[in-house]
Amino acid sequence: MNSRWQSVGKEAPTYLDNEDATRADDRAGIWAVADGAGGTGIFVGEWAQHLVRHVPAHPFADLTALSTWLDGHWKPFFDRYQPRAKADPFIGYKFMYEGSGATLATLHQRDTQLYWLIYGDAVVVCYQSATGELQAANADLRQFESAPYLLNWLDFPKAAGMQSGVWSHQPGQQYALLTDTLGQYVLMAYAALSGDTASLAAVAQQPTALGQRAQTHLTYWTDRTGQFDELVWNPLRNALSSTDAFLAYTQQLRRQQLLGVDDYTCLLIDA
Amino acid sequence: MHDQSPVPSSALPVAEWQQALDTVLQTPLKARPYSAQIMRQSPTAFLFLIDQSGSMDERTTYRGRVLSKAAAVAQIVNQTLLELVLRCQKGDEVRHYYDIALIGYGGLNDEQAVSLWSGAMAGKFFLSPAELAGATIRVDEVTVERSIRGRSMTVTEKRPVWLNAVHNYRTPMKSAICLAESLVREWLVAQQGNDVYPPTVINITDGVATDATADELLACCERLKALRSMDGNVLLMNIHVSDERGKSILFPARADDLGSDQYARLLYDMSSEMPAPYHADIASLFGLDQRTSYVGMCSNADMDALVKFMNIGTPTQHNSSFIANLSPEP
Repeated sequence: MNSRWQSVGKEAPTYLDNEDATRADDRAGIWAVADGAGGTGIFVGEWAQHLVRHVPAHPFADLTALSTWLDGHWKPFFDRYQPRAKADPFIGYKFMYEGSGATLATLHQRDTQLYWLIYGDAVVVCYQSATGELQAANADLRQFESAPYLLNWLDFPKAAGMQSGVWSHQPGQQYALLTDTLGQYVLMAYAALSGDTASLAAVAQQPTALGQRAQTHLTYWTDRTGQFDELVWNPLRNALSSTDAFLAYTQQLRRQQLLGVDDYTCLLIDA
Repeated sequence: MHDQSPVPSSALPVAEWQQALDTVLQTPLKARPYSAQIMRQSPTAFLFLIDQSGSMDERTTYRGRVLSKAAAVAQIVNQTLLELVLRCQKGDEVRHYYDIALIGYGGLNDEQAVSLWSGAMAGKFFLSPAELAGATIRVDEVTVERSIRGRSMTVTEKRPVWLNAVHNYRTPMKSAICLAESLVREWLVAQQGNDVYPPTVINITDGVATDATADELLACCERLKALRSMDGNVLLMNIHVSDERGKSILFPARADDLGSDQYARLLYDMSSEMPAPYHADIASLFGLDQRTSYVGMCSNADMDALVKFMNIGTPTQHNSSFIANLSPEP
């Protein structure tokens, strides 16, 4: 399988300040994205990098496997960053009280099986362009209404934060790992364009920026049902050709108010 | 009293300044207010108005200790200011997500509210989070137990202090509200009509204003609450700290909830109705029933309620609505 990916930060003028992390190891069949959680915690971009770098060769079997893996990898990170944290009272306080948090999505290929894992609200999808069908590991849009579960070196992972599963690869099937806000865009657009608007309409009722975005999707894609491939998937694929193209693509979606403000990462895999 | 420059006025000539303010105030409200994301390009502002009058010397209980109301409020405000800095701390950088004012009334004199920043920041009204981090009066050290992955460890923590316990003179609350109004006007003009989360003003008092009648005070509050960005009106939240008598009332829905207590009713009328995005957090944090209206006040609040109230009004980890706005960067 071959992968391509792009990642850009949220803020002008450089968009280089990015707390997402990506790993694409096509030969080993390991792909991962992590999203350092800026709302709480410190050194979160570094933690996201640490997590993806140490994703194991084999898929996570269950929560115990995830927890055991974290047990083996948190301490070097703690030892590396604690001295830096102690040098400043604010950083030290935040480090010890909030730790460092990130969401994580992984995909492992074993023969014709694709094993996915999500901790938090990153999005993993499987798309068959021949049929236009998109399967999402976590399709429920309401997940974005609340703060995501985060892998944090301070705590043990929780069962409610983890989802995992497996897909059988079929010819023409493509896979994507996306950090939350870009994943949210793909899921909202798919819901609107596939006519499955009940959950989108429910989110649109919320008096929040997310609710506003859901309403914009409901309105924007009207009368375009069935055009997901042409209007959403292919533009996303094409945007992965370069960082400039990806930045232009995400900024265009921002201007259309179809995409929230965030760091954006998309890792796309196909045969 | 330290030197206090007047409220800084814009570099703009008066006519242009007024036109800029009019433009801001005439911009239509968004369809979904209080949804602006708080970033460096679009910060928000917090103004804390602290009653430092003589009656704040009365005793209260906080975290199992008997201490003065002024001391308890100082501890809680210091913790809130620390939270504000922490929310802006990204790696080694403290980002400019808000401007923060700390206004005291009473404390130094009978008539005039003043900015409480001291040292190099004396005379300034708004501090950026980075300036706030550098504006401590002192840093206390405390030994605490922390749990890391289920293992307990003892650590020495440094706790910054910005506000000392002070209790003197009368209660010039109107002066504080008017100063807040003036500061918010300047702040809104400085944002140049951008889509910014509107300023939040939190007034903490144990008494009745001594520099105004109820009607005069209400008129000041109405002027303050009428100020707005396109994302919504200024939020004015009022906290009446407890004298440990009387029933505690939090986020009431109707004035009738307050009974015949005229002071509580005045606070109710002074306060903003809390926007819908806050409702779930208020209900959850205070164990209240889900309602369609919550007014941003509490009467006879004990110190635990004050802590929770501050958590609703500022972006702590307990306020998921605010955190969602603050974290375009989850």
